[in-house]
Amino acid sequence: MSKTEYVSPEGLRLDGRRPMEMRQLRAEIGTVAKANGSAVFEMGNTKVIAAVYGPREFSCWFVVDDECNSVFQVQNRSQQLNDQALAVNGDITCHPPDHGGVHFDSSNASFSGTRSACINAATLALADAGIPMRDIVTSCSAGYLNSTPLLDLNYIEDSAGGPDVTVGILPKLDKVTLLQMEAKLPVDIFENVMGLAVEGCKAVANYIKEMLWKDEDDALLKQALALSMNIPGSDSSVGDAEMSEATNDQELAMGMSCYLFVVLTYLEFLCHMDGLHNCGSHVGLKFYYLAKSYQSSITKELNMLALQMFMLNGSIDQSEESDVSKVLGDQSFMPSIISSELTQM
Amino acid sequence: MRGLQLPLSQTQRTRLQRAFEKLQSLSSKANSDASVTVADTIPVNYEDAFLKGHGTTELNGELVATVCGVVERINKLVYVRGLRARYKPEVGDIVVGRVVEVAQKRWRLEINFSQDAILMLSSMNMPDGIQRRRTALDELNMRSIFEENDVVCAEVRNFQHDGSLQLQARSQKYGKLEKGQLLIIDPYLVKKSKSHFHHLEQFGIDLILGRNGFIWVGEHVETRDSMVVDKPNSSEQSMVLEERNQTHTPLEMRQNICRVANAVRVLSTLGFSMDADLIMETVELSSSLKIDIHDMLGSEFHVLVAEREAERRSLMGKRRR
Repeated sequence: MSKTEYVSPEGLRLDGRRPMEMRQLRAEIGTVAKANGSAVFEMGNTKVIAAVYGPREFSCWFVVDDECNSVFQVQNRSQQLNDQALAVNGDITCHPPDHGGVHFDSSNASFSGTRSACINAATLALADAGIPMRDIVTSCSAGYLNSTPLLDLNYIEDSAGGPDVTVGILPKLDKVTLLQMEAKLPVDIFENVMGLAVEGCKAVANYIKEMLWKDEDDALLKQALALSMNIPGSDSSVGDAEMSEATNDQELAMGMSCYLFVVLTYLEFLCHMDGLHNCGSHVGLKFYYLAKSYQSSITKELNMLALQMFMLNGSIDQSEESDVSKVLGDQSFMPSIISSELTQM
Repeated sequence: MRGLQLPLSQTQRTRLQRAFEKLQSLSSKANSDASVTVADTIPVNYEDAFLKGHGTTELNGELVATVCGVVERINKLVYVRGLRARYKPEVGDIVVGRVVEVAQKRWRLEINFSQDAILMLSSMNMPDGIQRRRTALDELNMRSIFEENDVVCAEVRNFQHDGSLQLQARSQKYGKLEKGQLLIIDPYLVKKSKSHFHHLEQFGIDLILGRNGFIWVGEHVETRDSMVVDKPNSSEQSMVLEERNQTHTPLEMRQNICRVANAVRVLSTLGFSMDADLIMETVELSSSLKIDIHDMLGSEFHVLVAEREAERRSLMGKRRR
């Protein structure tokens, strides 16, 4: 079998990009009229539509995993068909019993590019829905083919069988929430590839922020239109209401909530989500989700997925940590970055 | 509901744009300097004591926005007003909701909020109008008052300690709504005004503008004051109720309801705030131009309404000067 040149001698990839070049990004906010927030995100030919419904009262459609202690919603419909789901980082404070749901619809086959596009689309949709978030989450993938780190793999490059690192970060807080790889890589090369992916994430973050700004301007104009109709006595009352609710953003602690899940098959999902009420203190919890061997022809290595969810409850973390450490004992190959996160715990 | 998703022809598009531009020039300019997106730092003078309001959080010692919106400062309070926020209930708001569940001594209503609102049995007037303690029999007969999927109009009573909402429906003007349509629009389009109940005499239609963005358009119902109930009359009234349940709404009434409802839909698509007068004008516009009811949702009518509104506001502005 002849070896395909993924990077030509001139340094061009199969689609004419340079190794450090990303695919073209395109985003649209507010496409699904019925949803509370929605967005379309395109990375090259990968197009994902995300729609957020909520925060609202918890409805009946949930899936209980045998290992997991609580319920979560499987949302990626097209992936459901392929019997897969994605795991997504959610740096959104979660407050049951109100939950929102995020739906994804991606038109093409699921590969790492879809995951990134889903996460980016979800961020946009959540921001559109007005759900309080500490930071936006952006994601990008990078790979290593023909001894070159490549940014933002397309479908052909991804199916090539080389390593493929998907990274999700919180740009402002400069933290990693998703780190996923399906192959073996020496640590120094891994660091390069991951660094490249993080750069890609930052570029996506800039684009997303731009889109949000533009969308906000439109919305501001529209609201100005609506508000300019003078109904006497209305403006003053708005001020009074806000004054009376001056708290430490109790929204984050009480009624409003949304969580965002897209769960990967073969992932053990260790999450506890019940009884979060009236919390005064913020406690950071880290959940590590591990996957059993990924049943694809490409690789049989362990998937390592780091997920960070910050929740407001003090009582939960003790039980979680014991579960986490048990599962982590199975690890044989761990990127150096992940182990440093572990020691922080 | 964002962006007009109507098939507009080229001329219609230009006309609509012109109308919106005119409106924008007349409207008060929103301060776009103060708009922020998620994770933007809010410029605050940290030496002054300030209160962190909604939509903000403290990260690494600086104040960061958690929603996209406009930063508002009122005295010492700094908060971010989200542009596409969900309905934010206030005590005393009139809301329209749909019953989702009949639970023990309460009904759960869906009101476009992050949680379902609760209407306690004790906050509801009994059908016979007598003020008394609710017995177990009353509890068993809750379904005869409201069932699932009934549309109910109520008032926000208070917030529970866990953030959920409690409603009350003590007056006769609240209660079950029948023979009409429920419309869902964006909550920010309904402003707080003196009266949310409008009786359109011309059509014999009741229009209830719920602050949560649920609008009820229905056949007019005579509200009886429960305080003035005499014993002999109450049996009469219950008979009248039964009779009314059996009568059909005449076709003309139904057409009027649809016309008003479509007017509300058009206005909400265009992003104009709901006002009974505006709705009436739109309905009159449509009937004067002999536009068919279902054509009201077409692009031509939208453009007409936008132009009409632009004219109206420019006239208002001139009159004020």
